[in-house]
Amino acid sequence: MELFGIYDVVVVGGGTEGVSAAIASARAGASTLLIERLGALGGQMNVQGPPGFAYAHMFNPRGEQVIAGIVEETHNRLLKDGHALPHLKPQWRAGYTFSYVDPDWWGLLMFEMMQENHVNLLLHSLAVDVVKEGNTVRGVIVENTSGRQLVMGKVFIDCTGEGDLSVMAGVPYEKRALEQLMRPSIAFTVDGVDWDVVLKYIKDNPKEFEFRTHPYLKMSDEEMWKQIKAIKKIEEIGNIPDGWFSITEKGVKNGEMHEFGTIGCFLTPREGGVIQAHFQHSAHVPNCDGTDVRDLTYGEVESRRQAVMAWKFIKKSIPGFEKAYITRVTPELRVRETRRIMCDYKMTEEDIAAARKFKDVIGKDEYQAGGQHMKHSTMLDPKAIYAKDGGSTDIPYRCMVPLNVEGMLVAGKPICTDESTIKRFIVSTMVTGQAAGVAAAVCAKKGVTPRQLEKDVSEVQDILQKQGAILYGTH
Amino acid sequence: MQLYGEYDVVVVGGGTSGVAAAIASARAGANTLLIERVGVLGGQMNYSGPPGFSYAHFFNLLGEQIIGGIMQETHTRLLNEGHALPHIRPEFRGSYTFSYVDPDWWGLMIFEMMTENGVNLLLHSLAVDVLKEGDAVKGIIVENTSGRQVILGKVVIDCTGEGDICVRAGAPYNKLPREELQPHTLSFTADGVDWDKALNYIKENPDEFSFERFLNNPFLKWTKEQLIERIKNIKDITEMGEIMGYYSLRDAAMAKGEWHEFSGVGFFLIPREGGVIQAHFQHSSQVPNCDPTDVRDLTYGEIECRRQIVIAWKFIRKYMPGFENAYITRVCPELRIRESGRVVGDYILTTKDVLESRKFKDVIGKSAFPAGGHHIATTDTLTSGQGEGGYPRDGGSHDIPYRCLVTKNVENLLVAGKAISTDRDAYHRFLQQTMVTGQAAGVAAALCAKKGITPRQLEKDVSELQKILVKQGAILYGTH
Repeated sequence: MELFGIYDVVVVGGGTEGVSAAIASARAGASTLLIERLGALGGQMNVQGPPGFAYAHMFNPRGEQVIAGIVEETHNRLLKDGHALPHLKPQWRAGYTFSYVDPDWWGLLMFEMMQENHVNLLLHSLAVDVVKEGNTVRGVIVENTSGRQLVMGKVFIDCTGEGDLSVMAGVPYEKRALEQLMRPSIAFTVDGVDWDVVLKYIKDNPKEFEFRTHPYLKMSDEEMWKQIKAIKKIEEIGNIPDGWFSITEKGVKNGEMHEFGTIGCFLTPREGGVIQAHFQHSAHVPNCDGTDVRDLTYGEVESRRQAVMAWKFIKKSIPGFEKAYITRVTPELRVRETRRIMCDYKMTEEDIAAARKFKDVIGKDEYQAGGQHMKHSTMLDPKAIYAKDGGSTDIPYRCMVPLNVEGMLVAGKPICTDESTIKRFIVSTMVTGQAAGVAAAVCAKKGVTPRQLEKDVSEVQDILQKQGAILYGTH
Repeated sequence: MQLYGEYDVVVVGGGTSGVAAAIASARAGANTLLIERVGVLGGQMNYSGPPGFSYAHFFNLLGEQIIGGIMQETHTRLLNEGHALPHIRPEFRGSYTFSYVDPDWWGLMIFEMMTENGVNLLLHSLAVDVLKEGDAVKGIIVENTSGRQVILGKVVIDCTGEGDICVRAGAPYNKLPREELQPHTLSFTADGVDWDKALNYIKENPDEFSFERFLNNPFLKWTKEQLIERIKNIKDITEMGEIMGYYSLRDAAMAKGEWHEFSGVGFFLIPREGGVIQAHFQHSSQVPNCDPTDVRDLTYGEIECRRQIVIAWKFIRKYMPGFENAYITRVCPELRIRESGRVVGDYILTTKDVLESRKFKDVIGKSAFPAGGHHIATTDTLTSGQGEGGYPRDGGSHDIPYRCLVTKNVENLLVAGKAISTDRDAYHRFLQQTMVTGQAAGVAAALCAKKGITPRQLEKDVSELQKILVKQGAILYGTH
């Protein structure tokens, strides 16, 4: 076996948390390697996605900005280049703000940022094992076209999305039962939509859509629809959630539409003001555990069957989509939920409800607990728990320090939370990614372990703020 | 390590050769497993591509159809559903005929075909090793989210594109030095093109494009003037097939640093539902000195190609008439690998075989693609294809013999796709060639499994293989 190289910080997984971790680590002065399974960086943003809310949820219901750092920096940069929409903050949606970016240009930007920040890349490489010395992770083993290699580092960050590296290292985890796991999706993007027709149908048929207002707002449905009816351009709507109920119901009844997803779309902005529709709720695979290769294979097959059926139905039955055409089908499933890695602190729904602040804050999040994908795509967990006073919750550093092992951090959706608090949204994964990157770089520099750093995270917080992260001063 | 399962035929790699192999094997009655590294099937067609010629080259210079089988079947199926263009055969293009399909719908259809044909799939799995008993391959070892597993099979087909399985099994393999390998590319697709404006510019400035190369076709007895006249009569961009040129615009931009030096300017077409035509740029980035069997090179290639396409796209939008309001709708997630090595099989197909339209007793498919003509990372994009290479001299096509798929030194192993046994100028890397050899390897493997013989033993009598291929629609006989 060959030694590929020795680095201060090794980030495993080049999805949304991994790219943030790598950039942040390199900026904090560490020699950094980012390892990715595929040839593209970006994961759920531009390979398996984007998810609908990409970007979104950068503001809490009070309108305070709670997320910045690399998320804001990249949004700004893409906006200036004509590859993003400005922050959309429809009043009636409160916390549901949208800051859409063009996923393909976001992906190109990531590669540019890797170069600018001197992140070392190792693409097309699957991490298959870890090397430990006692309880300390010292290396990761990868397989790729060159064979099997060992990568050594001072600190490793598990950005695999499913906590693969943590599990290889022996960290305990939680995972809900197979039938309770949120369902993975194949998404597709379409062009040629007649948005005027779509918008008119929405305005004429308010009962056919489920636009939820945030409870903090206490806005009546009448007032909400008054505002929706005043919309001039489709992007003002943010997204079109779960809707076209009567049409869909009829389609399911006569066998033209499947029962596993719903019809609703998000927006994908393209150069020159073009808006495409992005369907990522129209294929949902039940009983699919993304950490079991048989399930994962089945999911890829089943979700495509659903996507084909849904698209034929949409084109035939949804006003405004008659002449639309698919321009892109995501190559892989976006996995919503698998493991949560157990760490020194577990975030809970009580923390969310209390909009709790932590001394070791490394970032914020305004999304509620619960509100997860259930049987139908947007049939959300009824027990959604919102942060009090329209505020937001701190994410503590200790959520990223895995139990039982040293020399390792975890970022992204497997960070330590209870099952209803899972931090799977893109913005949260980038916030924890950025923080893990800085923390790893500080550990490498000081020669301490991520766990030892828990005693005093002030340097991490200072650097994060210098990198533009928002840690303080919001509800 | 877990035993994942035991199969008659194990196909490693779900690109264009692999999907054809798996469908053909399952149809020939074998219990078949198709293993793919990523979550999607289709490789260079819909994941790292499509290459420009997708589909293309169904016909030889004489106009005879030489490719049928799964290629024709899938083209017909997509055409019937509005996801393909009919065969486009402008007389001035010779064997450069186009039969464009929508790559995204092609990908969705391939999944449907796997289900219809009962092919077992194992996705998200990287093949990392082979299991051998003496000289015989007995299984494949994969790594994936569930860990490390072994898969046992009676016959294994290497459809990795780079001959990864053959190399790991110890088969001989020829690869040029890094600096002589063809450059690889990352492609992107754009919508919002004003085709009338784009076509007008092309027709008004024929000298700015590479049309003169059509006159190299010895069967087209046209003058340059006749060719230009014909081009000026084109009504629809799809008659054009593909475009390469914009010389003055390119050179002026290059002088200002607004074009890079690694490729020329040109595009292919992608048909979408309802008659929409998108432009597909797959020559606008080319990374040289990149050996795809070295992970450091491969990583460098992904970075460098993205740097080039950002430069290229800014040029396209700023300078190419008709592209002012165009927008990118899709950037490929991974490089399309043009060249790595070729496995040495029981026969090495030669440039001479191509030029002489040679027929073989053990024919399993045909090709009319000229020999030579490799990509180079300069604004010329392609070498001329002169010298050793060129069209089949009689305007016909050559047979691909079964023995090119049977690796030397190793038993129970077949190779399909671009790594089959050829010399460099007869390299069979084109999409249609990979599907033809894939389909043949699939049937051959199924037969070997049924008869309990090795692929090498099958060489003695391939008549049953040929019979099944013909039943599956393949064209083996009756053309020049």
